[in-house]
Amino acid sequence: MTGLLTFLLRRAGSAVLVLLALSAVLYAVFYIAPGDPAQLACGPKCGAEQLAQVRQNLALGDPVWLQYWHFLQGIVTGHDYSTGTGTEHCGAPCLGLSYQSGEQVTGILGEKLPATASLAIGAMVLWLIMGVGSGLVSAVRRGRFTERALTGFTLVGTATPVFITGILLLMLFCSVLQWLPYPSYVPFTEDPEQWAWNLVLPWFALAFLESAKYARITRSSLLETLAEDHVRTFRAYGVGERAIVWRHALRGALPPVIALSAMDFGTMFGGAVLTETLFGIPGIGQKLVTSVRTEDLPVVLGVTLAMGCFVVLANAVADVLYALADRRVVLT
Amino acid sequence: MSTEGRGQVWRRLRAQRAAVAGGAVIATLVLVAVAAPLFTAIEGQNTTAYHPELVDSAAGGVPLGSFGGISADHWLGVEPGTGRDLFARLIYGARISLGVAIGATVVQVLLGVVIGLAAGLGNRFLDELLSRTTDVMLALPSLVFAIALLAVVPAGFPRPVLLVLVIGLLGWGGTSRIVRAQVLTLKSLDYVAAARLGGSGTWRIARRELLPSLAAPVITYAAVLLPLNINSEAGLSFLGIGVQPPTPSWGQMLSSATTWYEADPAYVLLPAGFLLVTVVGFTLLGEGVRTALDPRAASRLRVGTGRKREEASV
Amino acid sequence: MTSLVEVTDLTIDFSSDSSSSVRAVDGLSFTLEAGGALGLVGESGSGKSATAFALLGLHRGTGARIGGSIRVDGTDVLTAQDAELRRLRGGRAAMVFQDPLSSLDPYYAVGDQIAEVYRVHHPKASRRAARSRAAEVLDRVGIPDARRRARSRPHEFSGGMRQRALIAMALACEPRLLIADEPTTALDVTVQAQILDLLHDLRAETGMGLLLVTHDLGVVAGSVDDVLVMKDGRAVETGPVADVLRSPREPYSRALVEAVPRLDAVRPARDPQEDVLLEAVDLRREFGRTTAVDGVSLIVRRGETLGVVGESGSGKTTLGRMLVGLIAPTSGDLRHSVPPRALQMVFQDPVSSLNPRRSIGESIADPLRAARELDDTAIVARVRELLDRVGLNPDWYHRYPHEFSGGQRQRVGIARALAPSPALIVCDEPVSALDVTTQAQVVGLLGEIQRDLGLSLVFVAHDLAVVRQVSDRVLVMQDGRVVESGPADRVYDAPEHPYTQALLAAVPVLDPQESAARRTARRALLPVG
Repeated sequence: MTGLLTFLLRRAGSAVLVLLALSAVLYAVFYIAPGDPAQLACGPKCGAEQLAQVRQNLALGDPVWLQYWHFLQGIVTGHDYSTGTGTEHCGAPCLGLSYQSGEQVTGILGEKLPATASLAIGAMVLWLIMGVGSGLVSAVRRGRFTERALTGFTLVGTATPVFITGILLLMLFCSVLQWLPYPSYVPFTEDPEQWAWNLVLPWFALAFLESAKYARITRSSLLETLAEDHVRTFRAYGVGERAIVWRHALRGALPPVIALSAMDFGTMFGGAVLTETLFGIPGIGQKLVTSVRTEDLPVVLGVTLAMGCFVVLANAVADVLYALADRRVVLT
Repeated sequence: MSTEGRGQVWRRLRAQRAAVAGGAVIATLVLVAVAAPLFTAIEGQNTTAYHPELVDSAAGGVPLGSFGGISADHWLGVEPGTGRDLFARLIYGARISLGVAIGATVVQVLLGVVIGLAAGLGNRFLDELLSRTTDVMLALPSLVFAIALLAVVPAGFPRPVLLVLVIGLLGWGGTSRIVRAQVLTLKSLDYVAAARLGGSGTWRIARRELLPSLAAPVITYAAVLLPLNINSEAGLSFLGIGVQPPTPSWGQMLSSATTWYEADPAYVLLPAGFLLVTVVGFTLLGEGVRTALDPRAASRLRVGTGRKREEASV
Repeated sequence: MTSLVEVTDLTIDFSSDSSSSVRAVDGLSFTLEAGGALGLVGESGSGKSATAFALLGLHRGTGARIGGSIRVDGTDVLTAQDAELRRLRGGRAAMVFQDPLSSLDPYYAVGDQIAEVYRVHHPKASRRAARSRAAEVLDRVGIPDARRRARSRPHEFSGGMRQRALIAMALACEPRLLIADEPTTALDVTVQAQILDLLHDLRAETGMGLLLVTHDLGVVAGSVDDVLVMKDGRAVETGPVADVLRSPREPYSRALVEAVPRLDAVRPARDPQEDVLLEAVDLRREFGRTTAVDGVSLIVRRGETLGVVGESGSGKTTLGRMLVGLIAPTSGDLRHSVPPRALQMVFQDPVSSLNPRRSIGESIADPLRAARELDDTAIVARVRELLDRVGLNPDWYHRYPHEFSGGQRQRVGIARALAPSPALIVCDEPVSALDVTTQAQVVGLLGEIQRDLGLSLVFVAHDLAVVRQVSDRVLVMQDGRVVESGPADRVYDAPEHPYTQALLAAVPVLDPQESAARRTARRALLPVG
């Protein structure tokens, strides 16, 4: 048991270190970038008065590491910003203030997150079921046709960027077949049924390519495990093929798939950005893009940092799940 | 491990029809892209001239004529709204896609090899440090970070070069990981120890024993990176932060095409088609290269009792 | 009464990646009576394992083509329905595999795995009854505190324990036949002796038949009644084990028997000099928290052969690598009176010891090229000379390693070690990966070269008989320390340290009667572990 505990602590520790390093790098990129940091933070349409305020808020007089320290402190304990009409308290975790809109970044994130979560989680569930499911089936029922079809499907699937899949699906289902109307996001809290219907196309667009990849990986992982020595032992003792797959092969075949899905979290955020932009879903991905266009850098910084954090956390969780599933990993 | 000359690798590559088809497509595309000025001159058009007379402004700017306005003067039709020639824009877009993708791949491979070598050959601390960094780079959402980085750079910087740098700097993780793994495996092989005993120094060993064995995995991986980088550039252009107008880019064309998918489907299908064909072509070629370089990795499950075979000696 | 096992005209063809196929077994026939024990002996590639697997129909569904007929305990294996085959497997005939670590499921407790197998063949048994049976058989195979250990996972057991657990699984359903495929090859010699003793006792107790597949003639001598020698998929000779081992009729079986190194071998006299080439004082080497070598001191004189013998984990390989300078000691002193290049090494694995991308001539030439003392013509001439010296054709200079057999590759490795004109060569398990007939040839070559060139050799190995054949003096290592040292004859004939005595008592011998006697003697010496 102590082995597991040490592993968990070490993993948590390294996740924290990575998060710190990440925030440092991002902070450095944004505030040491060429140009006037205050101007960058405030945006192109900044007035002179606001500019002065920003300078004060950012405490640009301080050495860089002190600025960074304040930034970190802000994340943990909150920060006070001076605005034209007094001071505004930005509660923890404080990721900055958008001078263009006057909103706090954390607030913006909170507002936009449900849409992205709807998209991401729905797509993930869909591709896991479709991908892992078809991979399992095709491994158990081996045949040259299944393998070729799957390989071909995977090649095309992973090659296609999500916005093309999305557009093609749009054209097919909205224009040609006219089965669905052009999707327009409806929050879950407003109308669950409409929420689901409007997300069907985006879900499939995101899930399409990923499920092909997962099908292939699950299949090869399972085939590999089925050929291993310990599976052979149970076959040699008369255990039926079904029990062999469910009880002995899956346990070894699934961890690599789990590990992959953790790493995929990062790719998925990228995909989410593109999908939200294509389908007009008001999530954090879309917000990121619009902020870049309007040069609202505090929001860009905040969103990027938040996404990076999610990914690091997801990876840490996946590592822990992997270790729980496969005790041998812990010992190495 | 097998030893064969390049001849045999070539032969295996040529034997795979899918890979050959992919290679042919890519070769054609590269040719067209490089000779783009020639082709547009033959066609008699360019990428920037507006032809408002070819679109029906009353109907919102839909191109006149069938399939988006294909004609002898405009081989692939015109752009809705502006009437710009699509063929010219598409093949100049190929320059961007191929150029940025190839450039970014080169950056990723160079960085990956250097870092992977350093991690594999260095002491434990260096290895730990570089490996952790690699893990983080691999996990991070590179598109998101690319967006963030692009936001910070001043507008004056040449955009294609910037894209090469950003995509390159964010994508070296995979190469570094496989190089490191290969170096670690090779380092522990007896013949490397024998070389040390024979008096070879570290540099000689790296040059003669390690680098030649790295070529195959690195080339294989580069073949996987190319289509990914094409998609990255297309994605960034789609979002409007890749190359800026008036430079044509497939991703950007697709972005404007989303509003036209009902009225002028050709405007969607053509850039999508070009993009898909390019990426699938590279992917097929990559699969072929992988199989040609290491047929055992790609082959199916082997049967038998799995014991090493030893023959009686002389 | 029908035999327990009846194999008639068995042929097995495996298809490889290309369209060609390999014939692993070519017209093999044999029988095994109930309660009898048969040894299937052969070198690698003889088809013995393929035969063993075929007895349980394990090739079904793999694409292998099988001809002839196999009857095991009344079941026609080749034509039986799947369900009937499953009833045979584990229920009436059980198999014990070579590598117990990979052969058990790492995710489940050992007791649960045995219980699962038990319930497959006794579907009406309750979970409690199954677990109880598991604990019972684990206890029978000598695992202490069986009920508690049944809840442990395979990686928590030692190698010998794991193999006992596999045997326990085989016993669970009281089979009439036990098929053991190289059951002791992956184990140390003392553990091997225990496992073979266990199999012997179980046979006596349950009356089950035994089919023992192995490449080691010594292993069969004490464990079976009859032996069948296989080569290239065919039976070469068969008969009672005492007859075949004492007076083999066929040339191949004779060569096999003669090639087995004997503990009581006579060594050619050698004449070592007095001057000391290498002196090690209190060498230590740690890897993290483990101490591989724990205070070893030794000297090597010019012209002598020092044997270093020990089981796995004894530290002998680490010691060997420290002596040539591949690994630096964490503490201790190493002095040699010759330049570093005069210390060379011959490695164990013929596959990884040569760069597959370089011709064998260039591999041998590498140390000469690195030294940059000779010009190209001189180098090529010297390499050709060395190729000839090790018994290979000099015209093969430009051929690649994959074109050669394991024994030939080891010869190339020896030539490479000779290239810088060394004074001392450390041989790290140089013949362990080779077939026994090849072993004898390579060991002979090493002896020849040593005599002709007046070299010193440090011969590191786990095979006691081989070490005796070549060494003047011997060091016995255990857990990183030298427990006994002295002239080879003295150490082997009159061992003083209990560990040396246990090691020597465990070595299998070729004479069945002597083997039985040693078994009785062993029970007094060896602890269960």
